[in-house]
Amino acid sequence: MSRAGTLTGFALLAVFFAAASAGAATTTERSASILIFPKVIVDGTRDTLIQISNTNNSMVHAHCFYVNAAPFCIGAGDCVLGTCSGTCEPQWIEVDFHIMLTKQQPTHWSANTGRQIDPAARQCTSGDPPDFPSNFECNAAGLSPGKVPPVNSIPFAGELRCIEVDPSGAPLSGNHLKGEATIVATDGDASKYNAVGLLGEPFSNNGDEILCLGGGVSDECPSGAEYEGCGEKLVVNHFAEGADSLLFGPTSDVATELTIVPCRADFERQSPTALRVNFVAFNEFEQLFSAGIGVNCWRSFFLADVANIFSIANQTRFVATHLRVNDGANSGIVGVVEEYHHLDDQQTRAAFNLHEIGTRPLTDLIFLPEGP
Amino acid sequence: MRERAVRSRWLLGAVCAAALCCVPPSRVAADIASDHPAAILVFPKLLVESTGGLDTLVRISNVSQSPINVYCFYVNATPECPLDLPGETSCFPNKRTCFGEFGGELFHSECQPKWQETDFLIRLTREQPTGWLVSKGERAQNCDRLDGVCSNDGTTLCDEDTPCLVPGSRCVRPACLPLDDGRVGRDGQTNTGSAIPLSPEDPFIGELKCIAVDEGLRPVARNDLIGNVLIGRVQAGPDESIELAGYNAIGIPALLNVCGPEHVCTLNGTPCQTNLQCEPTNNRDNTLVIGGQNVCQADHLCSKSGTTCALDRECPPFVPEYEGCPNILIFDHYFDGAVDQQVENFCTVDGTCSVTGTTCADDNECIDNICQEDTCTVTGTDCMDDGDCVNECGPGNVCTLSSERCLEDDDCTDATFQTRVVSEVTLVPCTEDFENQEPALSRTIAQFLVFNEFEQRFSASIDVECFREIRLSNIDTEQNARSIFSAGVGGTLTGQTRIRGGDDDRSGTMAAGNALLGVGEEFRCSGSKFDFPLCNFVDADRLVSATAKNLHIQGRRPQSDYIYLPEQ
Repeated sequence: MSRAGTLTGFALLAVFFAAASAGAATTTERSASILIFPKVIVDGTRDTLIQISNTNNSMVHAHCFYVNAAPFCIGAGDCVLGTCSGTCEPQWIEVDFHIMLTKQQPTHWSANTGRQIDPAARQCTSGDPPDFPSNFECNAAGLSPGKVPPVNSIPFAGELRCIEVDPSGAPLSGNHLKGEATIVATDGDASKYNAVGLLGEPFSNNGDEILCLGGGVSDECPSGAEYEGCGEKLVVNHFAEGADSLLFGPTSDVATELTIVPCRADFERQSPTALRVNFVAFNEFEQLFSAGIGVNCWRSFFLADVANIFSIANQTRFVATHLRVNDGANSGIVGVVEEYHHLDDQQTRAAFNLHEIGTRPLTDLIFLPEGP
Repeated sequence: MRERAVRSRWLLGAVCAAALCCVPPSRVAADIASDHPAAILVFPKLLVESTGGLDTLVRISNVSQSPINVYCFYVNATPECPLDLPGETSCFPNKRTCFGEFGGELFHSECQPKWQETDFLIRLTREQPTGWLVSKGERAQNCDRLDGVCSNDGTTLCDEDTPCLVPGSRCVRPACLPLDDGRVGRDGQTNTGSAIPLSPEDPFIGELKCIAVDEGLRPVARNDLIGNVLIGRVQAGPDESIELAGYNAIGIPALLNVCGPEHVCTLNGTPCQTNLQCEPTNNRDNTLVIGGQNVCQADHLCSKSGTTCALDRECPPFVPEYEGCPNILIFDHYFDGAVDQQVENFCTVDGTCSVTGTTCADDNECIDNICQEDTCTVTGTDCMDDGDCVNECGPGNVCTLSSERCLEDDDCTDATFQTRVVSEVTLVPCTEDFENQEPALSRTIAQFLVFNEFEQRFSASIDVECFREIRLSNIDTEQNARSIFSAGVGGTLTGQTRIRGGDDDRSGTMAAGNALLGVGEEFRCSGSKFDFPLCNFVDADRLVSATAKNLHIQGRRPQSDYIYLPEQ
């Protein structure tokens, strides 16, 4: 078949299937081809355990990128600890690595330590029979997914993104990956969320270094969308800032931390994506409030830091907040929310995946490094 | 690549135009998901035990510009002890047996499962959020006049006439739907008529299903509801602690037959110019049809139409009212008993251990089992001195603390501190009969297929009638350490478990798809090296923290599931 003929058939299939699957968006429950873990924290008091599984009966490869967005202190001290004597500048440093998973294989690693290749690692054993000593510390047991590096610096605050690829490293719309992240404090407090997945389109992925999320045909995306697009709007059900947690009584209070990541990422040029996120908050009186915040590559913030519209002084106990990017923004967003409930000097956390409404009509791009 | 794209752009344009002309009708609907608005919300697990400080907060929001009525059903699955003896042990939340004493004689019995529904209505105005404690419920009545307490001390009473005077304090009132008694929303909408009852009993374990309906309680195809749940436990007193876990409600979207850009209705492919020309597939009766296909069965009859067939394509298309339930649930979890090496019980600057909260002078005192105030710090056993907290081979060749068999002290596992993980899964059926309260219709066998990190495979199964909450390592045995879900048997730290509701015609109807929905929980428990972790929200003595997560899903059932609403 001639090249034009091949392309014609390819494009016909691409348009056909893109149309047939309209309406879908990101998923936190189905196996996907791109996994985004919006919030990975390693700061000395918290670590993040990453779990990824292959849900397929064949081997799967993935190309993963840590993006460190922890603010960097221009001066002496530490921005995360609040001891920076100068200014805190956001950074955007990516480190990438490959993993491979055999059929239905789950794997895990700590973001702090990564995962070493250790064929001699002891399995977990129950000590039965007695001459086979029990062992329940079996972090490295299992088939190695490949060497996973630790995060490149501590503190680390950023995202992890894993993209399904073929053995040569070319992106693949296999939809075989699922993932979870557990943010564990050294005192044992923990919160867990599912990775945000982007489904690959079965016939339109041309395997190049530019990944096209949603939208139509363009110069960068000659075959149209290769993956489902990001959501048009995100919705968070949350407490007003400072409201009492009904669960823990009238003297308790709740703070909500939202983490937002642009869908677009340029790992080739290492250029962060900047956009503005608008908030529209509805309370139990059906009253409407709005605010906005800038996001440069990655941002995690308490709602109280956005505007006082989220304060219990101005709100009812329960609030539903809708988030969307400005019209014409070059990227959609994904995110995760973490609630901190306090009672006296006690604190506990829970994380939730955000709800999503609609699909962005525009294409978001992920640029992979071309390599040497 | 760029050059190739430019050369072929004209060709692509032509192809796109041609392709769009012949695009088939697509089912424009989301899958079942916990991250998109839907018409049916399923909250698989609610817990209440007021005496233990355990409760569940439910939050629901209407994300549309129109008011919506929500018809909700608590399903009470709290098991009962049939002995009816004073002082009998509780079956809550999922015990298999209970014990009681009468006349000095010990009796025991199997805990009896329960399936009892309580329904109620909520009216949410446009974009309105609400939330309530399952133990307390919520009303739409005199919200401003409800008595509250001041937030600074939690005891000073306050109301409209007596506000809190301490600066920064405010009057904290119970949950209430506020648009009532003359207060209305922007378009005159109110919450009037909403009333959320208290949990059917206390303690309570069960599920909640909420369905978008109209004023006449007839189902409506509106995907406008989102929800989530927080399960929290507070332990008051000197050892005050709080734990929290949350998950999103699972949404089952209604299938919407709308006029697509190709001027055909999305579900049945009829020509159209506007949405009004596309006939709704939801007949709004009391039987909600969730998923299903008209497939050619082995008897050469189509499953839905009953017409003869040789191939699936000879069966006329069948359009259900709601998106189908998943074929498989996937739960990635720690194997039970695995040590969480991210948690460290170290001595903090204030002289207490970071996890256990016991007093300490150095990190070793947080790890070693030492005697403090007549109690061993790790095992919690009585002691006179540190020697009583050493696990050594005692009389009868039994270790003093762990009760392991031994010949010498080295055979006894030392009693140093560890944080270990245990997981629970809660499964509920997609099919439920709220009209006839018939749990047998929902009965199925859950098949578990487990893969460890060596790609090794194990399997087990368990009966699910209408609700099942169970620790993973109790699925196949009562002896947790011997389970295929325990780390000692699984061999690795984490595993992937695939859960499938099996075909089961014991109900005699074969009417349901037997699909399951569920949620997973992970508990970190403190204890010694020889203690298998068994903590959870109810048995919380050693609970360090809890998390919950929505399970991943795969595929759809070819059979329909059904929810039967009560006749009005």
